[in-house]
Amino acid sequence: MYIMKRTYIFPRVVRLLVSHAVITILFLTGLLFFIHTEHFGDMIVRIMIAEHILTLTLFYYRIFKPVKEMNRAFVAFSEGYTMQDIFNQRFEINAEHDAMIQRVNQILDKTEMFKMSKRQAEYLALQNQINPHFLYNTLEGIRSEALIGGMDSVAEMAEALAKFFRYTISNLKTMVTVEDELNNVRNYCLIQQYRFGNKIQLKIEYDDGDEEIIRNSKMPKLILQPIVENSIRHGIEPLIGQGSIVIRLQIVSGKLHIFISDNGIGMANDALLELNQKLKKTFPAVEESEQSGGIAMVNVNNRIKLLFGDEYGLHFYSTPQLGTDVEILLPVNESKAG
Amino acid sequence: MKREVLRLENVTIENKGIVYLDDFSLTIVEGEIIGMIGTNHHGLDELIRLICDNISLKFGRVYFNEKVVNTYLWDTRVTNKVFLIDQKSRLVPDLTVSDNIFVLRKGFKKYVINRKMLNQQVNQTMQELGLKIDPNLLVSQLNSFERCTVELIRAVLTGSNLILLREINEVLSSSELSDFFDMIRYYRKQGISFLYIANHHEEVFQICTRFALVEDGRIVKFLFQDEMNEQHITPFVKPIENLEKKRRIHNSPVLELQDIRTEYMNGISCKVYAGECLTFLDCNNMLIQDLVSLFKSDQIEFEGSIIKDGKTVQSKKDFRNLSEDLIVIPENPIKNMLFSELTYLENLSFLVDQKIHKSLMKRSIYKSIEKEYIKEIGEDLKVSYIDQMSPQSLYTLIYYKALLYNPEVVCIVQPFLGADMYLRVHIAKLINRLKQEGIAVIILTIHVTDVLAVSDELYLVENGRLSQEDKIKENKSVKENYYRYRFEEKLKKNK
Repeated sequence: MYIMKRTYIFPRVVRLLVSHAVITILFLTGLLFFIHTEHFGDMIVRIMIAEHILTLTLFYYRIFKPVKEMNRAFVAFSEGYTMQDIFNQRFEINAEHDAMIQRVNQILDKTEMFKMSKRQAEYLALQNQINPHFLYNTLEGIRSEALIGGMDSVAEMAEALAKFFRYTISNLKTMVTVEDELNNVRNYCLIQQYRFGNKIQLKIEYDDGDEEIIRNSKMPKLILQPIVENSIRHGIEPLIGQGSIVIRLQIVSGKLHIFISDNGIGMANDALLELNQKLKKTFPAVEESEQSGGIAMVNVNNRIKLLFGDEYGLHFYSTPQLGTDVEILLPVNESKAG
Repeated sequence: MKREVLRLENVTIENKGIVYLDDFSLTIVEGEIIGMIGTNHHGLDELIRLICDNISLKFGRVYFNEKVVNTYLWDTRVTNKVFLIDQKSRLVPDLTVSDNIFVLRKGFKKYVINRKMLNQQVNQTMQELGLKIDPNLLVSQLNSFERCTVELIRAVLTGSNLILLREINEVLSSSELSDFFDMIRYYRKQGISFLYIANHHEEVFQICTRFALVEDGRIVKFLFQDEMNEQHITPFVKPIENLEKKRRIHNSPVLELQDIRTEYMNGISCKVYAGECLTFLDCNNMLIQDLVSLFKSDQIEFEGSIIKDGKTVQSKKDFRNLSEDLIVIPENPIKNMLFSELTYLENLSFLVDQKIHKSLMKRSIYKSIEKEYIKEIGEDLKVSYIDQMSPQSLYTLIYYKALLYNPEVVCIVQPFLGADMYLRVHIAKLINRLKQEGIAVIILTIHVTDVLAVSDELYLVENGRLSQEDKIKENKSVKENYYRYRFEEKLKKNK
């Protein structure tokens, strides 16, 4: 992270103005005394011009440029491109302004914590409504009956469904291992295969030598499955012919890069640009997302950005009729894990 | 765990309302070779300037060796330790190889230069690479391959861990490119990363570990090693379709070369027919200069005979006639064939005055030309200043200039050099237009890519000598198989 020691601009302005005023008054006074002295008068005027140039230069580098830098961060924040930059600036107006900004940061964090807990509560409510043990027992019952009746595929399907619900509803951890997430994706694809047959092929590739570290790394729960679901629903389902999903995982300099590629029908260019534009921003209007679709992807992206910062998240690459690639960037084994 | 050398994070570069890079994200890992082609060249210059010099961003961040070196928040003006090797030399021509490698680099503070030691180090590096370049040789005496090699060694010895290669395939022949790729693989194993920007995926696929396709300043597709094949890339590229071939109308050739021998040509013989295209694929980058000199009737000593319209070219008058009936479109014709101070129409008519032997042309001739070509060329014909025109329009001007002159033979040197995907398709159509008018076309190239679509015959020249068994007859499937065979063979060898 590039957080630096903060410098305040207002004291700089005061110092510069005061010193400039004092110097100007001194020279003007001097000029009054030596106005009739040809040699000294000229020299004082020259020094004053030099002092003005120096003041302007200092003003440009020490005040104007830092304010410009701050302004860029404010613009990026107001347009929704970044959440962190205004809190991690090199310059602030003064200590009070800095304190206010940090307070806003805390409030935002609390709001987000509130949202997260709200979501957690929603999970719990859903859990109570469904009564998972009843559901699992029923699914186990279906599985036993199917095995006795020689219907292996029904038994497998019931088992996969039970596993899927157990992971989605009962596992209340926010962070899970990559291995768990991948198992959930495998399970989800298995369920989908009962619907689509062999139309969906799932392939998982790890980068050479890093498989063990990748498997044991922690990541937020339910990141991969919504993306795979999206690939199947919007990419592979309308596709005529064999569909494939490839998940590639790689660790580079403490960051987990996940590529999810499908060979589905892809996205129109305008839809792709709109989606990537939404993903660049941390707080898109929820109503807007709900209306224009892609809410699952925006939510997944928001979760990642809120948990780890602006530099992480999703990015889509897609070509109509040729498929879609989703790049997910996450930190590896962050302290927030668990 | 792999180490990140360069990371571009959501980079957007905009200048005067034009977006050059749009939400561009790319990570280059230690020891990785990223191949990159652009369907158009939009944004690639800015990408290189960004990586080398950290130009201003509208949004995003650039990390080099895991540190932020550029951000949209402030201008850093820091240059990264990245080397660019492209068609233009960055070496000092009047200094020796060893001086260029060691003395000119930053941090070299010795007042007394121990030449023996420097040469020893250069020789040692050359030995590791299996090369023989004299360290005392002046850079101006080096050929393109040696120049690129010296730049590569200089980059490595300076400690750069990211090297950008841009369209080097345009200056290196197939065999030289293959040798250069071997060196890249050697340095890749030592942890040096490369970003190779080219115009043809065929060349990039041979060497890269990951591939990115760029369009309008955005990455539209990444391909991983197992996906680097024709099946995956074909939907994205705009191919030059095999253009319709006409049957040979005339049995007698318009031009024939019989056993031509010069310093670099060793018994070259060929026949060129009206409305057909013959291509010389020069594997060693030796032949082109001599053949162009021969066609331009420059002072070049040669043995053998040139037969035009059934008569041997012998006297000065014959050579003058030959040069009148044969025009050469050189490499980079936009730079070498057009005059920016002339209008489009004046440029188009430029060669006609030679044909009608009048230094000043009447206004009526211009009007007549305008009337004839306005339908094909369109409103471009009325443009007064050609500087701001697109490469596509300028290539149209160049080829229609040749068409208007109506020679018997047009010799084109590396017609697809430096052209992006769309421009290549356009150039192929223009070459076909020449053929349709019954003009014989000779293409001199060092790369097989693209030329097959317009060629009726291909001559493979190795060390100035024709490889008889590789002479390819007019046959679509033979051409395709030949090409695929060569491509797959290279891939197999490299893997």
